[in-house]
Amino acid sequence: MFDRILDPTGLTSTGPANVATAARRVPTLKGARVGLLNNTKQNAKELLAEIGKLLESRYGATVTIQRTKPHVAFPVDEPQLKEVAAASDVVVVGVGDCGSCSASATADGILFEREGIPAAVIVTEAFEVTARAMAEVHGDKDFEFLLTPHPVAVLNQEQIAQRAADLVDVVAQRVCEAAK
Amino acid sequence: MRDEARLEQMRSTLAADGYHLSVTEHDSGYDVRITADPGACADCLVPKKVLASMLEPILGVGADAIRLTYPSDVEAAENPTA
Repeated sequence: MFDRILDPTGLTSTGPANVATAARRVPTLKGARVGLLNNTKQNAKELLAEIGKLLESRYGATVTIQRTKPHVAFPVDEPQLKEVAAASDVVVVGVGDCGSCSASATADGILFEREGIPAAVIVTEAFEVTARAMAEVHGDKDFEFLLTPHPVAVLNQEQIAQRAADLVDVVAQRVCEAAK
Repeated sequence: MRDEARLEQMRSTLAADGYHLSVTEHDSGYDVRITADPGACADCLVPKKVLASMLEPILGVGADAIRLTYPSDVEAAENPTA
């Protein structure tokens, strides 16, 4: 028996208003708590882990929580949203490397922003349209996600490390004013 | 009025996962059919409710005027006992 029915859009009738809401950016990443939300796509966990390491070594942040969503196509559920938000000052979400996962990752980022946590959402270029369409569904059509070349799923370990190195500064700039 | 440019963009992004979109207008809205290449990743297609919400501004009608048919609907119709 289901306790509740998940809405694949991530919208709720009881949640915050469906309007664009950006969280306050952290003043510095030094000492900031970083949450990583992996959407189960191939190499997502590895890429986020590498970005987390670089946020620690380059910016002095600390990865405090790493979680995996139960389903790639659905936005983060409220218990997991609250858990990650409670342990994080900033969140990195990814990887939007297909239609459903780019849409849900974008919804995740918007939900974290509405929870007051700056979010960097990583989406591959092939799915920019899907991510933008989902942002519009959430009333936040200008939501800023981070684009990276498609695909991520086929990268080897060395390529993942390089991709993380390519992304880490834009991730930092997305969540921290001082990094801009 | 439907936005052909954005509809084409949606077609392109679906094609990246091996899906194809066709749209037919009817009296009160649109029939939208999604077909799949062999081996297309089933989890990669957005849920129907999401796609309908995304297509609303592109087709210029409410989600209730968009009838979506997914590959799984066709399979279910062809194999009703499966």
